[in-house]
Amino acid sequence: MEPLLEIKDLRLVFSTERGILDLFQGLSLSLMSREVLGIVGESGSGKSTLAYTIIKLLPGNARILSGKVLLEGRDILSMKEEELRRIRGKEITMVFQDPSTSLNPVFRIKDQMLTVVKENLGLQGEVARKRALELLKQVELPDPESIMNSFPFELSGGMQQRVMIAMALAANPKLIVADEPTSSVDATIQTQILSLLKKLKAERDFSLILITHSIAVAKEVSDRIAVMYAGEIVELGKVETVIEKHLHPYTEALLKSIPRPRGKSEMKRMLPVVPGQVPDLISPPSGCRFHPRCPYAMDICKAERPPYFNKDGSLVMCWLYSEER
Amino acid sequence: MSLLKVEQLKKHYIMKEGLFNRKKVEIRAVDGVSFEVREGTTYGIAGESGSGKSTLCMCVARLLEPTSGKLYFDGKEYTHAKGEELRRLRAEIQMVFQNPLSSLDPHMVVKDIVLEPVRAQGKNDDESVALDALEKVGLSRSVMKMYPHELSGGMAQRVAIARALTLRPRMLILDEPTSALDASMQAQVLNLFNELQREMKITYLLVSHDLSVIGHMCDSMAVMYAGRIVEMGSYDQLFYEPSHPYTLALLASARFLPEGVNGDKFALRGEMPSPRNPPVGCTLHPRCPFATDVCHVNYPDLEALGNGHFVACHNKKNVTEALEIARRI
Repeated sequence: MEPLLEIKDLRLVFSTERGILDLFQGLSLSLMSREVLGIVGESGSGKSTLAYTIIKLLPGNARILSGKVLLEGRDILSMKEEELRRIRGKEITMVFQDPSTSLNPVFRIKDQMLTVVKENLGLQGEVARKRALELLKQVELPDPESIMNSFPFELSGGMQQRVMIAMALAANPKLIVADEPTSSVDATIQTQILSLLKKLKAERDFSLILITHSIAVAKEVSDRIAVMYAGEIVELGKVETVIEKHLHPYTEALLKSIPRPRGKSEMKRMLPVVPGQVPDLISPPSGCRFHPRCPYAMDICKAERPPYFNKDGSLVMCWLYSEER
Repeated sequence: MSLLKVEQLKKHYIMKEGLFNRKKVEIRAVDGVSFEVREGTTYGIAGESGSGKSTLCMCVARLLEPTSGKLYFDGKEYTHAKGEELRRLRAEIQMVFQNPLSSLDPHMVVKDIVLEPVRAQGKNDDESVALDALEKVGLSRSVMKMYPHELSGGMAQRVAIARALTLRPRMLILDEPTSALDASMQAQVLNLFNELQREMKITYLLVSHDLSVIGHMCDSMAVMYAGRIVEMGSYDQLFYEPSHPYTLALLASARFLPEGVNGDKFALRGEMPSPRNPPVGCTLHPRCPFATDVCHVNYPDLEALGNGHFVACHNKKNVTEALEIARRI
């Protein structure tokens, strides 16, 4: 089967006041139709930049040096603005982290929903209104009629995020890119939004890229998980494999450092931590970018960027899995 | 002996609304909260946004004037302490806020930030005091001349902690201290808190929406909803014998229920009510899967279940039974 989305050998840098920030040094990734891919990483790992690259919505100081982003074989990166407009909001839609800044505060939900429906589906009048109401129902908003007449500030964060998801669904997109969709809402609401995404994924025909800093959130909905560190996808595999049989030392460290409730009557304990900090990519470490913090680092890790090794069906960018060892 | 004692604390706000602000609405941000914290332990307050947990912190730190109720520190009442007495108290109770970049003055270098509390107290502001505090939080001399924007989030939060430590306080109020930090930084900062407690016997009041942080750090805890404590007790009691539907829902949404228990049936419907117009009766009833008729009428009292475990729920028996049944399946 042909992948829906293919990122091939992407090289991307940012020019900053302090120099060139070398983010992606040849990043590749593919996504199948109807697949949910969770991209997990800490701030600065490049996960959001990756999302924006997919719809070619990058800040002015970003430069793509080489690589392709293929949506069903068509290269998004070489498209003109006009072509991109036919893709953004229609074939690929986005859900952002903070719904209160993505919705226009001076227009009613009605106006914003209808714009999306009219623009992307070419519907008019009563048909458009019906479609908008239907979408609000699909995202399980109570009383869609009154929601339509509300202003964004009258809705809670969770309800606003549901409206954003309804808008993202409007055009029957092939791919939805959700950037930290549950990070600005409370725990009980987060559970609701995640189960909504799971339900929609079962009912509808779209692929989802879920970008999150929380491996627990990614685990809830994803089929596969990509772990990012300093602009590299260091491990990519099925959810269960990444969580239970993780290969990369960074994935291991990340999972171990998450605080957990203690067992009954168990003493308080210290968390295993990754020493140091995420590297400054203006002068990134040589070889494997994780080597200065890695407990298993070898000589070759300093010298050479590891290729991907295939192990237990996962891809891992780490010299520990080289056959010659 | 408890170091901090909070008795029937209330913080109500009057909001003016409507044409010419003629309508007055009372918002009960904190509505009759009582608990005690033993010296050298960590007390957790869990709850979602709007539960009143941050307002509670600000009242305990005396950064907000409580509407009524009493606050005791080391056996002495300080609810209305003023002047010199309040200043001395500030040296004993320090606070660390959620976002280090907004709680550190961007115009000051780290050295001055860290020394500000001792200067305000008129105490020794020798460079060595700053160095000492920075060393405790694992930062080197090299950050002394840096401005907050030059620090990473984790380092900035360490500076905020160092600042809170210079006066050698007996209690730190931690309001979501790691929510703005990434996973690896969070682990480092939580370890730091535990180390400091071991070395200096500091008492923590730790507020967080994140039950994994609370479960990792706390000896005892309370769960707040819409301005009130709905359940409190030891860590074991709340995590392993939860008796309030809201505690259960929080544990379920964080996937912390016992192995094999399907949390979906304990999920809450809808969202937190508006504080302008809270539901009559128990404030949780519109969302609660256990609600019965009585919940629409009366707010339940906090009742003792024994061994310091308290819960405010009319149907607490049904809650524990449901959990028991779910455990057996």
